[in-house]
Amino acid sequence: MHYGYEIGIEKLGNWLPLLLPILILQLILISVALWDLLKRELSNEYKWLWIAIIVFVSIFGPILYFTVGRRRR
Amino acid sequence: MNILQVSHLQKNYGDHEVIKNIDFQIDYGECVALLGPNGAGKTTIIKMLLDITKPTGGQILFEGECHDQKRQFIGYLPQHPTFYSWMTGKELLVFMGGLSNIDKESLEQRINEILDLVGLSNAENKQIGTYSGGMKQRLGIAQALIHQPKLLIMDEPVSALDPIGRRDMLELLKFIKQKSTILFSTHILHDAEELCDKILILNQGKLLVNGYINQVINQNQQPVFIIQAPRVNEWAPQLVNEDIVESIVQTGSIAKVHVKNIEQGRTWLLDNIYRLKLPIQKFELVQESLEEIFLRMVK
Amino acid sequence: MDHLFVLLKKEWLEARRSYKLLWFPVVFMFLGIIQPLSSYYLPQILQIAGGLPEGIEITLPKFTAEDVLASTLTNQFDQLGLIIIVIGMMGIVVSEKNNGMLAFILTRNTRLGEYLLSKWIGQAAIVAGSVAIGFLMAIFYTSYLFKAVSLARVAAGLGVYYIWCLFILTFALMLGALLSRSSAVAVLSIFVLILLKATTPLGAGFQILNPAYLTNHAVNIMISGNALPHLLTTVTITLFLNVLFMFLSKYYLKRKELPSM
Ligand SMILES: Nc1ncnc2c1ncn2[C@@H]1O[C@H](COP(=O)(O)OP(=O)(O)OP(=O)(O)O)[C@@H](O)[C@H]1O
Ligand SMILES: [Mg+2]
Repeated sequence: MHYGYEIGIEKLGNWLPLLLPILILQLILISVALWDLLKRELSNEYKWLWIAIIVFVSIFGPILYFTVGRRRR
Repeated sequence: MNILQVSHLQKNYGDHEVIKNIDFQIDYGECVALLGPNGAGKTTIIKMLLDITKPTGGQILFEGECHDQKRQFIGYLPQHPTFYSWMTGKELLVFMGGLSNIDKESLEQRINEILDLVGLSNAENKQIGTYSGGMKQRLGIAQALIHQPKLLIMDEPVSALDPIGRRDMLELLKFIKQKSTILFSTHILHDAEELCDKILILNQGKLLVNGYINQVINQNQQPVFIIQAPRVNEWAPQLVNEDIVESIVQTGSIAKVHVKNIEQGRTWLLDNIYRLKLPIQKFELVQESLEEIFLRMVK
Repeated sequence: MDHLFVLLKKEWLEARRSYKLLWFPVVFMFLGIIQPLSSYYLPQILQIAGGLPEGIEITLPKFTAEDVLASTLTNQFDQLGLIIIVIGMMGIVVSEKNNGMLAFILTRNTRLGEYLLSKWIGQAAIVAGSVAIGFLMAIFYTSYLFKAVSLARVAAGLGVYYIWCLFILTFALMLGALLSRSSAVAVLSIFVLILLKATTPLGAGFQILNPAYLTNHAVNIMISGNALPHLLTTVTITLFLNVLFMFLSKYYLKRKELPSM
């Protein structure tokens, strides 16, 4: 099957300024969530679980952490 | 007028009568302990005083008025203070002070005084979530005192503390007591004896005792003979006589014998010691301590 | 009113400490960006995905700038956005009720009314800020990728939409007062609100009474600049329902024995 990856690097260059804000927002969310998670006193297992969720579950990872994950003391 | 007047107070949860028709009053400047074992109903009474729980029957009056008019003048420490863990100690005091209508200028100074008093000055900017149990308890007292209440109501202020924390807290309460009227609940008699003028003994929702400590002792004290001899288990059961002996408590090599009449009891006991040929090490007449009275009553 | 101010300051502090003040606007900014971006690049996206065989031209609808903004409301804010609002609001009364803090606060000089109002105002402000900033992103991207839009129309439409947001918020707040688990609050709120939304395509007279129909009003204002009939009735009814929900919450909490510490 033919997948049309004809989109060139120069085109990506056009996209980048528009995508950049999204990346920045995502980065802010992830880093604040991680920073908060790491400074807490929690079991390592729990921390690793949440690190995985925060980093890999797109934008919802950090949100899940802020709404559900932070409740545990 | 009394600072607090409770009459015919009742509370039922379903069929369960938790508080059964209780009357008591507190006068200005008194320190009163509400004493009772677990489940006696102490917290229930305190929650009704603060209008958290509605009584099934009866009346509660502060200086002749109901709670709603007198919020300003009551300070309250709950049994398990769990304040916002994300606030710092100081922020909590600003918040509670604001809710009690203290104006901004005096609040700042008041908070510093109070933090100093309870010994939390160096933790004022730490989040409450990081506080130890003792620190939370002291912060609880601080917020209860922030608006300079005339009446301070505390639910088991020392029960959750270690011996050192408890010592500190008792000293703190002694200091506070000089200026305020205090009602606090506890299941430890010793705390009541150390701090209070008056005690209320509660058991299973009934008020068994209500009065000044020395009066309570005088009125309820029973004479006790202490007999010490080896193998208590063998001879103690033979000292039962319904006409003369009220009860026998065995502890170690000692039997504590409550008698109905001192003279009669002494003769009868000595006769029996002779009859059983007990190798006694000790035979003594003592008065019950308050603790023994308390334990006997709530048994 | 002093107490209300104290309570509001507490709400603000809590929103900061719990990072709600960060993640709430950020999510809406996401939602605001995604719609214009994906509308604009839809042809390329389809191409990359390679779903189309060579030679076949599909005619994609030509979006106007107003269309894009309108679908930001209907496809993003009113779906994921609605769920996010509910998730953000599910715990606001429940947690303080359950941990005894509410009963405790009420032993001070505070009234239930002040307490609920502080919750409502605080959260309404956060939602207002987030929706506004999210939509600002949408407007910015749309103007850049498509063409500039009439700000007056968009603002009017957004204003109408915000009243629906207030309804979402107040409904979740009321369920928080009535129920004792935040998960139940979330599930029930989302169920009822989505149900209300699901009936909007049916049209019919009932929509006059349906707060969810405010999104349709908002979309119409943005696209055509004109209001649909009965806009004012629906707005009034929605506002009335909000007030009613607040009173119901207060009434219920007043009669109930609250958990205490
Ligand atoms: N909400 C409630 N519903 C039903 N029963 C209750 C409720 N609250 C308290 N009780 C009952 O009332 C009785 C008294 O409880 P209370 O908490 O007042 O005791 P307490 O003297 O404070 O005990 P403790 O020393 O353990 O704190 C208990 O038997 C308890 O089961
Ligand atoms: Mg108790």
